[in-house]
Amino acid sequence: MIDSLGPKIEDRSSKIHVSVDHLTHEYPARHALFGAPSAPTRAVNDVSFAIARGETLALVGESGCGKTTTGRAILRLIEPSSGGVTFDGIDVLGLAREPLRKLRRRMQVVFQDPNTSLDPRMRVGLTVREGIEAHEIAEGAAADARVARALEEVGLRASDAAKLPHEFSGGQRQRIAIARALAVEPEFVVLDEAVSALDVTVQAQVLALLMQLQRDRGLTYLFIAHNLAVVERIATRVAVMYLGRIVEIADAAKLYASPQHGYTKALLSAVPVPDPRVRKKRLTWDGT
Amino acid sequence: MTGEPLLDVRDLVVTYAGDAGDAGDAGGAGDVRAVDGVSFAVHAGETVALVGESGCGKTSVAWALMRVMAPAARVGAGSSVTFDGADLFALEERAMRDLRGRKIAMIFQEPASALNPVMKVGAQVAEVALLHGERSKRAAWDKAVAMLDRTGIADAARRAHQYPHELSGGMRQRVLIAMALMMRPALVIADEPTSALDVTVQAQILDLLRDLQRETGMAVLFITHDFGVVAELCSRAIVMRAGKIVEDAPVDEIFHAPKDPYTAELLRAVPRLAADR
Amino acid sequence: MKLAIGTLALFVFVAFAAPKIAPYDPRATPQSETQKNMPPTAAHPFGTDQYSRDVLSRVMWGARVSLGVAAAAVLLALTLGAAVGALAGYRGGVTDVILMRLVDAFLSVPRVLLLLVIVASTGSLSPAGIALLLGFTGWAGTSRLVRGEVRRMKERDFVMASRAMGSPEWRVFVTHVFPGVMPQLLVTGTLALATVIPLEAGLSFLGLGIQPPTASWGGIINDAASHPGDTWWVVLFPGLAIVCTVLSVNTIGERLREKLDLRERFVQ
Repeated sequence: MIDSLGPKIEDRSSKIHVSVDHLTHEYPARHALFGAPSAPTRAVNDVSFAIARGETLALVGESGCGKTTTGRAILRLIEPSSGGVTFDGIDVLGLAREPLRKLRRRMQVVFQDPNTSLDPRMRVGLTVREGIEAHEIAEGAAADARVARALEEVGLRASDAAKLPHEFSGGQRQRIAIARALAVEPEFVVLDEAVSALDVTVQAQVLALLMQLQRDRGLTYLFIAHNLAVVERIATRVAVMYLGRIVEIADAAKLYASPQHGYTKALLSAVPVPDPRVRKKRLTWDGT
Repeated sequence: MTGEPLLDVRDLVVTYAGDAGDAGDAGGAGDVRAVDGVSFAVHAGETVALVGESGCGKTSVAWALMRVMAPAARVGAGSSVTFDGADLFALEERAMRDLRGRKIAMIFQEPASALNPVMKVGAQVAEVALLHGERSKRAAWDKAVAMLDRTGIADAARRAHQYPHELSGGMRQRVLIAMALMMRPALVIADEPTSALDVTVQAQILDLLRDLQRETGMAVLFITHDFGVVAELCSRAIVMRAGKIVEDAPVDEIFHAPKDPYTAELLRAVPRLAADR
Repeated sequence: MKLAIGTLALFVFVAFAAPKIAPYDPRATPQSETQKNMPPTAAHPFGTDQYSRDVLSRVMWGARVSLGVAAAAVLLALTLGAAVGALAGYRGGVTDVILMRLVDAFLSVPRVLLLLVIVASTGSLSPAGIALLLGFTGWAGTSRLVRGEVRRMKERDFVMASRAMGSPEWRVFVTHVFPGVMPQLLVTGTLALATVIPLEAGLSFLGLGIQPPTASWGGIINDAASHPGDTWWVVLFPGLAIVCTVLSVNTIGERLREKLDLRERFVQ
C-alpha cells in the first residue's frame, strides 16, 4: 500500500510549480497635511494558492482588489510585507539579489499596456535582446538569431527588430512584449492584464497566440484579468479576489457552472451579454 | 422611425494634418482621413451605438458633432450636420456654445480627468445651469443636488459638497451624467462612458442610463468598442471601420444577421461567457 | 531662437579664438598716460580703460575666462547633482532621506552669501578655483530635480519590465532610467549657465572673483567702477556681452524645455 502510494504523492507535489502562502502586502499609511494619518492599506490580505506546472491559474477581480500587487509580489517586483512564495521549491522572497536576478530567467511577466511597458527610445530588437544578454544565453550573431526567432514566433517579422515601438499597432506592441518575455525561455509567465487593453479582434488573436505558446512550451501562466469572459477561454483554474482576499478558488468549469461566493455570482452576472435578445438578471454583492 | 431626424449627419469627413499625434495606421506624411464620408441619422428618443475598434474614427465623429476638435483636425468642405433643424457647421461659435450642454450634452470616458479636481462636485453640476440661464445660485445648487440624487448618488445633499477625489470612479461617472442631463438635452453623446469602470459598476451605470433615457426621452449616441454594452442599451448600431460606416441596422439584425463580414468578425471575437451563449 | 544660437555661437567662437583675433594684448599697458580712458576710436573700437588697455581685446579674452569658468562650473554642478540625485532617487530609503536632507540644508543657505563667505575666508582664487567654487555651490538644485525625474522613471512599466527581465540593476539604470533623465538635465544645464554667468560676473565685479589683471566681464566693469560715468564704454561693452549671452542661453533653454514637454506628452 505504502509503496504504491509513495510515488503518487511525490508526483502530485512535484507538480506544484509556484506556491503562494499567506501573502500580505500593506501600503504604508498616508500622512495627511492635517489630521490623523490613515491606516495602512492592505492591498493583499493573507492570500494563498498553488499553481501546478502547465496550468493557467486566472486571478480575477476588479480594480484595486490586489490582483496586480499579488502578481508583482510573486515576481518580487515589489517586496511583500509578509508571507511566502516558492518557485519549484526555491524560497523566492528569501533570495539574495544575484540569485533572484538569475531566477528571473525562469519567471517572466507581460504587462497590461505595451505603450508603457516598452521603452519608447529603444529599438524592438534591443528590447527583446535585453534578457538574452542579461542571462548570457547568447551573444553576437547567435543573439540576433534568437531575437529574430522570438519575433517570428509571435507573428512579427525578423526585420521588425530595427523599428521603434511607435511604428507598431497596439496588438503588435503587445506581441513584442510577449516576445521579450519568451526570448529567455521561461517556465512561468505572469500575464498581468496582458490582453485587456487590446481591441477584441486583436485580443482574440493574442489570446490564441498565448495558448499556442503554452501548448508548445509547456508554460505555466498566472493570468491576471478583470474580465471573466476573457478568462474563461484560457483558465484551468480561477481565483476570484475581492478587497485583497481570495473569496473563491475553483476549477474553471466548476466556477463558471456553479459559482459559490456571492461576489463571484455578482461578477458573472455583470458581464454584458452580446445579444440584445437576452436580458440577464443582475445580482449585486454588498460586500458582506 | 419617421419624420425629421433630430440629428442628421451627411458625408462627414474629418482629416488630421500630417504629423499630428498618433495617426499611425495611415502612415507616412500627408493628411489622415480619420472620418471618411460618414452619413447617419438619429431620431428623437433613439439610442444609437457607434461601434468600432480603436482608430476607426468613432471618437472623431463625436468631437466633430460637438465642434470640439483637436487643433490639427479639419472638417471636410462637403460635410453637413443638421441638429434640430440647425446647420451646426454654419452656427456662430456663440450659438454653438449655447447649444452645447443645453441641447446636446456629452459624457466622457474618464470621469477623473473630465471633472475639475478643486471644485465641489455639486458646484460643477450647478455651473451647467448657471451657464445656461439660471440666475439664482441657490436654485442652481438645489437643481444640482436633485440631479445628483436622480443619478443614484445616495445622500446627494452631502455628496454635493465633496470633491471629485472623495468619490469612487462609479460615483464620479454619475456626476458627469448629472452634468450632462442637467438641462434635459435632446441628445446626449456618450463617449465610452463605462469603459474605464469595473464590470459591476458598468452594469449599474448602464441600468441608470437606460432608466434615464426612458424617463426623459432623450436621444443617445453611444460611442463604444464593446458589443456587450451595445446589446444591453441600444436599439440601433452603426459599425465603423477605418473611418467608414460598414453597417447601420437595428441591433437585432446586427447581432443575429450581420450583413457585413467585418461586423460578423467583430461579433465572433467578443468575449462572452459560455453560459450566455 | 536662431538669433540666440547665433549670438551664443559668436561668443563661444570669440572665446576660443581670442588669442588669435584679439587686436591687442589684453594686459598690455603701452602708454598708460596718453592712451588711458580713451572713448571708442577706429584703433580701439571699444575704447581703452584707465590702464590704457584695449577694452575690445579684454572683452574677447574675458569671454574666454567668463564662459570657460561658467561652463566648467555648470558641468561640475550637473555631474555632482546628477550623481547625488540619481543615487537618492534610485536607491530610495535611508540613502534618499539622508542625501535629500543634506540638499535641503544646502539650499537653505543663500548661494551668494555662501560664495562671499568662502571667498572671504580663502582669499583670491584662480579661475579654476572660481569654477570649482561655483560648481560645488550649484549642484543641490539639480540633484533635487534629477531625483524627482529618476523616481518618476523608476515607476515606469518598462523599467519594471527590464528588472523583471533579469537585467542587473546598473544596466536597468543605464539603459532605461538615465536616458530618460538626460533631456531634462540638458535643459537644466542650459538654464544653470544663465545663472552662473552673472554670478561669476558679480563676484568679479566685487573683486572677489577673477583677479586682475586677468580679464573677465565682471572684472572689466570693476575697472571702471570708481567713475563709471566718465568711461561708459568700459562698462557698456562687457555689460552688453553679459546680457546678450544670458538672454541667448535663456532663450535656448526655454525652447529646449518646450520641445521636451511636447515630446513627453507624445510619449505618454
